[in-house]
Amino acid sequence: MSTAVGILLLLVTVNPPRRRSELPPDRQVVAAGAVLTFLVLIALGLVGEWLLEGLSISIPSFHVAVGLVLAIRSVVDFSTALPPGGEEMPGRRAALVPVFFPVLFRPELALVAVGVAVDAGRPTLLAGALLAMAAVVGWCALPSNRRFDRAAGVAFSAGLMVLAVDRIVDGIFAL
Amino acid sequence: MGVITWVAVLVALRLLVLQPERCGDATEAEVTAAAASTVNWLIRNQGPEGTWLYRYEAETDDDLGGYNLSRHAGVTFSLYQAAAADIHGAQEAAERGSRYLAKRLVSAGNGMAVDVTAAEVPIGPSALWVLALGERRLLTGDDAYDDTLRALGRFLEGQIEPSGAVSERWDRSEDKLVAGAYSPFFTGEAYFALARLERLFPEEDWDTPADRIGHYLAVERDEVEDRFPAVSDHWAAYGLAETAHWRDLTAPEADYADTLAGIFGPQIRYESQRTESWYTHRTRGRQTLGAGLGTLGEGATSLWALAGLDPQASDLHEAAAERSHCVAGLLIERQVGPAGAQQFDDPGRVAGAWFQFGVTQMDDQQHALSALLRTLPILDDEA
Repeated sequence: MSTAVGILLLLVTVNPPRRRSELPPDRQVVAAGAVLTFLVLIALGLVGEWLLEGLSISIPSFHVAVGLVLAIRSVVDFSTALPPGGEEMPGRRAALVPVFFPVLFRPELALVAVGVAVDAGRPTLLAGALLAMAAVVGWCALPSNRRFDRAAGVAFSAGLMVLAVDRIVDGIFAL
Repeated sequence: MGVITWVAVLVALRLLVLQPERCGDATEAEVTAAAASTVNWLIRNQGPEGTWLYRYEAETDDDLGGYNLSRHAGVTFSLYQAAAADIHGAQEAAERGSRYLAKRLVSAGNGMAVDVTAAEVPIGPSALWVLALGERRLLTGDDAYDDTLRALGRFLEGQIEPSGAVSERWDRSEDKLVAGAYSPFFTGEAYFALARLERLFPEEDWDTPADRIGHYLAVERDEVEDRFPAVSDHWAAYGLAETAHWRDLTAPEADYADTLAGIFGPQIRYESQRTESWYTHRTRGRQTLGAGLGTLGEGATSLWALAGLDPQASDLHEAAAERSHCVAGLLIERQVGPAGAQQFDDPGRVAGAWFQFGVTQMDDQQHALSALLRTLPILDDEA
């Protein structure tokens, strides 16, 4: 996986336009949740290789698994309406719930973070996670337009599908 | 909902996609011991005229009979490899195997072939005996079989069609190749054999026929011969590594090495997830034959050797080492040891062998032995 693909993969996995509909309107809360997500992704990247070794999972097999999860996620995101926001914790704790969990820190993003770290390297994860979280915060700063968000979310989902297939093929046909 | 999604995804992945790959961490000493144990099986189960116990059922202590000269020559090749690794008794057993084959040489085409009975002579035994004798030549420097090597090589060269395809049989009555008859493995065997002859006798132009086959394998074989999925051709991998001893690979050959990597890799990973448990029987199927696993190891180790010789394949080095190491671990885990053999009527026919459904065949030992032996330099390199 090249650096560019790694960064792009993190960005389309997060899918900022689609996430906005689930996030609270308070930008500071969103930013705090994004920072928390970023830190957890970096932590996952640091322990990812050790985790895979401990679970006796080879990197190519992991790529296949990541690709399958991303493919399912991309189909769901591509074909369904923007999701509504969920329950929020009061005040700044909303950065934890729902911003960090369950909106931003999702299984597919955690898997991608590990995959990018072990394949493209931790600097790529660092750059990609930073860009993806900045994109979430930045997108929330734009004027709200659900039709535009829906269209942009579909475009991100299509990109995710392409990269999911790339992950699967890359994983299956690796030595 | 978020928690449920997390749990569902992680559990489903672990149970269905990411089952543990149980490769173990075989040491050099363990691999050597497993190889020696296999050689001992081949020594104990070799008859006075040089043939081996072909197929055997442990539970009933039945010699299931049958014989196959390709496998005889293949075992002889593996034993010379074992001799090169200083495994006691291997060379003597290989020499007995060679003497048996030498009595079965017949004039064929421009040279000689192994087989005295069939109306249509398969080329496999001849190609594999070239490999065995080539290994012997590299090991001992003895030129006693050089003329035989050349004669077998000329026969193999005569089996090559204009496209580079290799006919799998020679018609004795017509004294010509059987056109359009192809084997999934004999082509790679002939390729490796002729590439080995070029390494042994570089002044004799064996590279031309080897290259014709190599090009055919790299760009045409699977399509022309309608092979889907593509052949998991460990012999071709051997041949590519052998070719890299005397020249750099062409671009199509290097691409073909990548293709083979993409064939061996998933099979090894999948196989490493198989256990004897009820669950993996249903989700991954039963464990493969010792021969099947061995060929995967031969393929992976050949790609490792190739990666060390040709810079175009250097990106395969680390993964090939990892997969080869994995196969060695699986082979050791699945080999029947002396203690396990004691529960059977004839432990001497069981210890050191690989069984599937209670049956072993001599090529289980052949391919497993070669795979183990070819992992030794990888472990040495890692140390």
